[in-house]
Amino acid sequence: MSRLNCEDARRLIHLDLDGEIPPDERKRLEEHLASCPHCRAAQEELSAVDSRLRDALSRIEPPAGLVRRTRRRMMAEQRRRSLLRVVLPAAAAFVLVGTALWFAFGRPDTGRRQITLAQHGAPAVVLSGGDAIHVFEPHERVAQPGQTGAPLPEDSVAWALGEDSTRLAFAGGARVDLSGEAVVRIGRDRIELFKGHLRADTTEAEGPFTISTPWGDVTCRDGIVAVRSDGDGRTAYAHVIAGSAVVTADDRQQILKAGESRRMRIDPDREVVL
Amino acid sequence: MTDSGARSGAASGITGGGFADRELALRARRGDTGAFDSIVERHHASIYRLCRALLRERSDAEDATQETFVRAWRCLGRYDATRAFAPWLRGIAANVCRQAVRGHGRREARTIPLETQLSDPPAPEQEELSPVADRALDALQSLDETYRLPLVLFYLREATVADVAEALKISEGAARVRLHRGREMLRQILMAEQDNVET
Repeated sequence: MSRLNCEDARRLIHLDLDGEIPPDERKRLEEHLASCPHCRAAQEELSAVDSRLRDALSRIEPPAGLVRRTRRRMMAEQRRRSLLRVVLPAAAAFVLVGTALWFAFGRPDTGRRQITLAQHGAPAVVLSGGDAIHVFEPHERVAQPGQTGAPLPEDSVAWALGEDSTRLAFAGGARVDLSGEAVVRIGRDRIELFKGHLRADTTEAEGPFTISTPWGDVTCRDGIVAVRSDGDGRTAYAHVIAGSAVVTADDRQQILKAGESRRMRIDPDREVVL
Repeated sequence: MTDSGARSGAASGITGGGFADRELALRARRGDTGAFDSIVERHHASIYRLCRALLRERSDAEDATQETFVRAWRCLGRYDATRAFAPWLRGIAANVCRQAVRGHGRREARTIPLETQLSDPPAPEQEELSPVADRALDALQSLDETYRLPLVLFYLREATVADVAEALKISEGAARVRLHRGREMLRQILMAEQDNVET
């Protein structure tokens, strides 16, 4: 059996701390440590780091009542989603009436939202609008009409109305065009599409961007992808325009390249709530 | 259930509640809120530890812990039941913390439901960690996220290199390299501190 050099010994010291050193390698390491004071010192120091980290993490205790508060937050979240599920169909009619009034009497004052919502707090900003974008902000029950340049808070539900597309700029660099009266929820590095169509350009995004739908997920990095939902709400299509995207649907993951498409059927087990 | 009880249960695959994580997750996916309650009960301590080690501030860690479970509940449909549940949950927590770190300045704009805040305010501040543990976590905090995350994930009890890789969606080889480099960096930092104290 050949003798270890110090570099290999150092690697084995770490494998030992990882709990992954094979028994025969441990024997070789022990022999090396017995004759190398430099590696022996390194092993003692790394073991000390190992113990201190283990000890430090084990000393962290959760605050009293954390489970209770977590449950309350989840219940609040469920109530909010249930409310949106009920409100959504009615809100569509409300939005149409509101839009008519908007055109009839001019744009409503959207200053309040701009004041209360810090620009840097938004995961996305409306770059340019079609006819209108209406937004349910998180934990709010009233939709606010948007305008060009308006920031959208994370988890807000938005309806993009009108013939023209509405362009959103995400803080991570992705650009998304909504059309077909799209209904979406805004996330930090993702967007959830429930109705309508979108086109995501991630060529300037910092990281992967995901379009999540009731039919499946499409993750794109450094590419352009379009996702279109069918009118019957049972099917959607993902089409890669540039680069590539990973499509996960029907329990199957597939990498699509530019020019390729995939049909995604709705997953009956997947909960669709707004 | 105590955290240690939960850990031993998680290790054996069956808990005091009688179900493995995977089974609870599948039940929760079908709408069984009691099953998800058991998941929260079982994993809240380890998720809080992870968040506290990554974010340091108690209030941030608590907020991130709650957010982790809310997201996990929302994303249960995407959980692959052929894989272990704990690394999946820790992966969500790591993402929540990453986003919290990047969005630290945005915290003012974030909202927690008013009814939650009013009905159940956070617990009062508790004892500090020991100075030695505090220094170790401070040293950890000074590392780049690339190395900090794997180390925290690994040193949560019961975690293996494979768990770290699974949570971070990287290969085991990459997880191992990051762990080794991170440990070496910490060694330099902590030994330099010790030398300063001695001189």
